[in-house]
Amino acid sequence: MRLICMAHRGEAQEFLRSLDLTLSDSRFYLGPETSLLITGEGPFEVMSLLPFYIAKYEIKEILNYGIAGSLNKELELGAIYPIRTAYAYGLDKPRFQSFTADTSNLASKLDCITTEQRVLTDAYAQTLDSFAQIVDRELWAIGKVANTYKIPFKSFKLISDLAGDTTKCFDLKQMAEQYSKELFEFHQDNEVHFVEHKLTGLDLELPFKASFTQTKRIENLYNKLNDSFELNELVEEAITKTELSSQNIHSKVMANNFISFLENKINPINTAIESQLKKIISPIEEIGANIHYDRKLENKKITLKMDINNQVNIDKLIQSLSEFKYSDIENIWNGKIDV
Amino acid sequence: MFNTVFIEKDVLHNKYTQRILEKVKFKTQKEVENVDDIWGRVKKPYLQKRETLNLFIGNKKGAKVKEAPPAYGHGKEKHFYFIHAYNCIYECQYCYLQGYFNTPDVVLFVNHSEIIDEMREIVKEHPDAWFHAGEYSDSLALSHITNEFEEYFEFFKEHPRAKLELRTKSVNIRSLENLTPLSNTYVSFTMSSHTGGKAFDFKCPSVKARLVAIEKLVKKGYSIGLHFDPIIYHEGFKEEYQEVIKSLEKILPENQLGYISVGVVRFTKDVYREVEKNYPDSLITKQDYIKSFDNKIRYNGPMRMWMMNSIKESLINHGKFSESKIYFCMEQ
Repeated sequence: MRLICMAHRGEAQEFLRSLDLTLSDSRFYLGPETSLLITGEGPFEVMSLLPFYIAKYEIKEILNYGIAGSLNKELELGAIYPIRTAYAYGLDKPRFQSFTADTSNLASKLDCITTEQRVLTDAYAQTLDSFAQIVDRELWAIGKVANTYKIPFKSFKLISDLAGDTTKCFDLKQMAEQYSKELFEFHQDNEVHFVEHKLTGLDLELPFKASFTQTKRIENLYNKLNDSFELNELVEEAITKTELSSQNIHSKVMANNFISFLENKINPINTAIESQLKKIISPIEEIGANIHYDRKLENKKITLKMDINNQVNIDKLIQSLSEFKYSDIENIWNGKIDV
Repeated sequence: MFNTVFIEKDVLHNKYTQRILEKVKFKTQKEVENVDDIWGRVKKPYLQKRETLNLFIGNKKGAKVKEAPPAYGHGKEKHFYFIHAYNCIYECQYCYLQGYFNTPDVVLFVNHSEIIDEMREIVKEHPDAWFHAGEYSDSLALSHITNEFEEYFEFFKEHPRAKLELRTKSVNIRSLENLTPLSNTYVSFTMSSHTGGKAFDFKCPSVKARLVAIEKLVKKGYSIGLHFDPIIYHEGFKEEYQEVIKSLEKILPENQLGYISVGVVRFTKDVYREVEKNYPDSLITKQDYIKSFDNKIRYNGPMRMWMMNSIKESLINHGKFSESKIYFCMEQ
């Protein structure tokens, strides 16, 4: 569901009249696809209300409309601007965090700073104009909540006045109906699109079972490749080039084979490194011993393990170790790779 | 070029400030008590530098010259870098500045004489010290508006054992062409393959243009340093680097080559997160890395060594450069 957030009922009046909304409680108007929340003025009002409605109605997108003050004389009074980034100013200093709106399809170069108190002096406005061109009372809080719940947000601000000394003389109530109409017309005329988020690997349907760790690895590798390849193409290629299709292979091995296949697609040098390592280690493994090494290849050491239950094991181990050249492993660590 | 220029009140009449203001284009100007009151106080998204980049002009407070980390430079002498600016007008996808400062806004410091005073103190104890420019900003990119090199050259003329390195990707060499080269001054260029330069070094001069700048500086008599760093793997990388190295061999005589550093791309966790956010479709984010010995994100050890050895071999075999001048940067 899409949620429209507005601070005052006055700004929202045309939305409430024209949209298909039902009053759910004193602040929330429920609609079939779009609902509307009157947050009240100020960042704390937003933060105390918005999370509740996000959780209750599974909100997927947030749209903020509202009036705001200009900190830049070049901005046109009465114009509606899309906002790029929301900053905030606390009681006496800026807040470090900022939240960037979804500005896809919008040529937005204007930022908004949210204040904890109204801007009633030119001196205060001049402090703020180092950070943004527009000032409001809510957007940063909307951004913060949206960011916490990983929900995209967009914001459009109608410039009502030049913030500062003259703000005191400005009567919002008198203009509210007109501004609300203009904001609603803007809403009607501008279909708002949010960025479609890429599907993650969690949506992958694999033709074999994979463990949680294997699935995560496949997801990670596939996300690196999915601009160039479709999953089914990759699986088909893997089937023809690896033993992925064999009925006799355990699903865990199939998943590992597929992981190796994807790794090779991303970086054939790493595959060459692994293959050279396997070649060096295999004579030891053939006698039933195991050589473990750091899978990240950062720690320059190997660990040898073998169960010994007769003299033959020992003789084979001695024979294999006498032929094993540690320098071969060192060469790989030192980057001497046949590519 | 810049949106707003913020100037510290104390440096309004500084000669460097005046020169900068004469040359830069900007929309508005604002006086501030202290750059740090505004710069970096809020988290400004890095890519907003494309649309609304601000410039700050002020004095560098605190340490102006800092000791460099191990394996930073060539030779056994002490290495220091001096802080003449923060941030850069270029936009390299791998640049650590995108996760280092909280803002892409550029700061130009104008108290060069104080920076030089700190260098003077250091050379009393370390007369052979190296001083590197370009740690937090390209050293040449804005040099036509900052015009500070003359003052630094004076210092290095007085201290012939100390060495100056100007690290750059820029071809903005006008200010250097107007000065007499010193034997202890090195202009060092970051080099990559032509493909790498196009793919990763946004808004930077092409590798081809950098080769032209090197050739001009060589003719003028400057000593050159080369940084094949960061190397990023891409298809045909060996052959493509060879091509660039062969071009260098033609224009850079051994006696004017100072040193060559070779290093592979690496990121802190925070920087890598920024790269993923800023350049989600870049080849950089499509590669497989590990968390390495110093917790930085890198290729695995054998891959790194293979890449660096490949470049080193090519520098020796195709570039005919002396092995003693090549060092691996920021490796174990």
